Amino acid sequence: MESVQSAAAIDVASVPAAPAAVGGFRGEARYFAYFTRRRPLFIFGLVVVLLSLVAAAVGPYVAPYDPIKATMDILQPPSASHWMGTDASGSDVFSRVLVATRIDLVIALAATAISLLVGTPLGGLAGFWSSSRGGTRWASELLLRLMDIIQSFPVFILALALVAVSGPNARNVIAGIAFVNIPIFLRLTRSAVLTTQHRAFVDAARVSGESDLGIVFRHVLPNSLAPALVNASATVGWSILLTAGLSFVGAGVRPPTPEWGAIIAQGAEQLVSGHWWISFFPGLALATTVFGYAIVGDGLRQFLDPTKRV
Amino acid sequence: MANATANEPILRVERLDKHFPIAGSNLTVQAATDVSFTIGRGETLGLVGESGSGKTTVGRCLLRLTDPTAGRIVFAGQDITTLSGHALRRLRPRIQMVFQDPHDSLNPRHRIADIVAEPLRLAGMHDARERAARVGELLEMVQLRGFGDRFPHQLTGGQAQRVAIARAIATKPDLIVLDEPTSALDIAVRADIINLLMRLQREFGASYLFISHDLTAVRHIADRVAIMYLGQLMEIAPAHALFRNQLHPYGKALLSSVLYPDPTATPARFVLEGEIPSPIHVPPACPLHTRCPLARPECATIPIWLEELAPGHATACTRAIAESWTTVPDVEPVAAMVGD
Repeated sequence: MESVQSAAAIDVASVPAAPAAVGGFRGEARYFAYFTRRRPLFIFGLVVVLLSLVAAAVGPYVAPYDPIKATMDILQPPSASHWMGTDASGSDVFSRVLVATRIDLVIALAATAISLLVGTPLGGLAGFWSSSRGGTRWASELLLRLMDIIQSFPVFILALALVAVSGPNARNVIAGIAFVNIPIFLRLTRSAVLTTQHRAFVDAARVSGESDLGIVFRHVLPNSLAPALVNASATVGWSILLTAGLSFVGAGVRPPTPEWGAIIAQGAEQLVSGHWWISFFPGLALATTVFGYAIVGDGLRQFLDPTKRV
Repeated sequence: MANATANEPILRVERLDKHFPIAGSNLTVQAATDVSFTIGRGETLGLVGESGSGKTTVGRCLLRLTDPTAGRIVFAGQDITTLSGHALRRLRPRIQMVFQDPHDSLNPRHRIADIVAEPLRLAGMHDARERAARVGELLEMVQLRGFGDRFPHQLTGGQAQRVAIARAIATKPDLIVLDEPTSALDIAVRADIINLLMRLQREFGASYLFISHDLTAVRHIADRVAIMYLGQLMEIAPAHALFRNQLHPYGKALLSSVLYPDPTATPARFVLEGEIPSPIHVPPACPLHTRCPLARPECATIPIWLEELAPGHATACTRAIAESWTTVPDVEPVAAMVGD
């Protein structure tokens, strides 16, 4: 059933200019527009990611109230003047949630970038080395066993322990989250390299006279990065969740710095007395953002896959 | 092409062995054992055999994509068996390869023009402008004018294989290893590719090692044919002689298995018994003796060698050599039925 449809689709798409056939940045942009138009969920994810970035950039300047200052208007329900109500110290919840976007995002983006930059090259090496003999093979095995050790701990517990040992501040939270995410990127890249290096185009490159380095950087790695890059977006989402989780249990960013997990924790004390809005709105922001980054990651995987292009 | 064998051969393979060790045991996969042959300048040698007979391994050894266990590979008078690093890379423009799966042999992230230009770029041939012009010429030669900006997945199998051929001829190599270049393609496209390869050979005079199990294609393109079974050469002969008359039971069985589109043709009568053994447990002496309808007890003990029984026509059948066969005798119909 599919062959008939796809044959027809190719006929239609390839005769007039197919979007991807146009070279360079403009071609990519045209294909992106074409790709996005038919994926409403992907658009939603993009909007969430974009909003989170804008909020992180300008949040502190546009917040209607001082997010830290205590006032007399404590525990006010959501209203026109306080969209998300106020908390037990009388601070505006909306302002706190908005301002908190920056620290959550900075921590998550930095942690993901570090784990990607460390994990991907190490995964590449582990992949090349695992088919060799002698010392490099041994190094590859050692690397993998180290990853086993890291991954044998629950991610949250390990991050908690690392931050607890090194001290609860933003820099240590970044380091802790980056550390627990390295094995994922290492393994993803390694397994992709293991598959890619046996493809015929790698042999063809060797026959063409490509050097070992050329084979690695022009042929094997570019065709092995997709899993790690796709995972990066989702990892940003999970890192936000982890950051919030650490603050929630008091091991992350210290109050009164506004941070989603910390705000939820503060609100949790008031939940039992019916003041739901203090936890609900930062929780909603957290869930939406994590979801948005996961969707964008999945969409990017499809967008970057050249074989899915018509 | 007919006088090619008179010249010094471009390639000489001497007693090539390739045994892959099996991890965790002292067994080996004997992919190629004691393989010797030559290819003349401008000549096409067809290398045929069943799947798993070691054809591809031999081809990959010639390109040094795998390192032979023993033996020598002499290319244009130079021993290339142990070349490595810079010296090996300097040889690359002179020996090229076309792979079985055309799409898998093209980097999906590179555009066609870059793929065809790669051997030129790596050999340091031409500057960027001349190279672009040369790529245009090459694409025209394989009838893919204007395809330079496309990506591999936008091509059909036949088009992708023509890109691979353009890449292979870019540096005007002396030898091209064609590893089953048509087996992944539609029947209708196969003839196009074969004819293209023959036309390019007339224009450039490259030698071909044409690895295939498609005997019809081999008959069309090859000057000489070598037949492999379980990593060993059974028979080697000029194509026209071999397709008329075989001097090895395996050659006869292989050729009588070809189906001709002719309803009056008599069906194959010369049939081997049973299945091809595993290349891990290759039968000793003549590897065919377990399946050969003409086998004698000594076939299981006397080591085989290739001997020329007719001009250019060598066989590894010890019985054929001992009895100076002029052709492989037919088997009694009763005996032939055993295999069924």
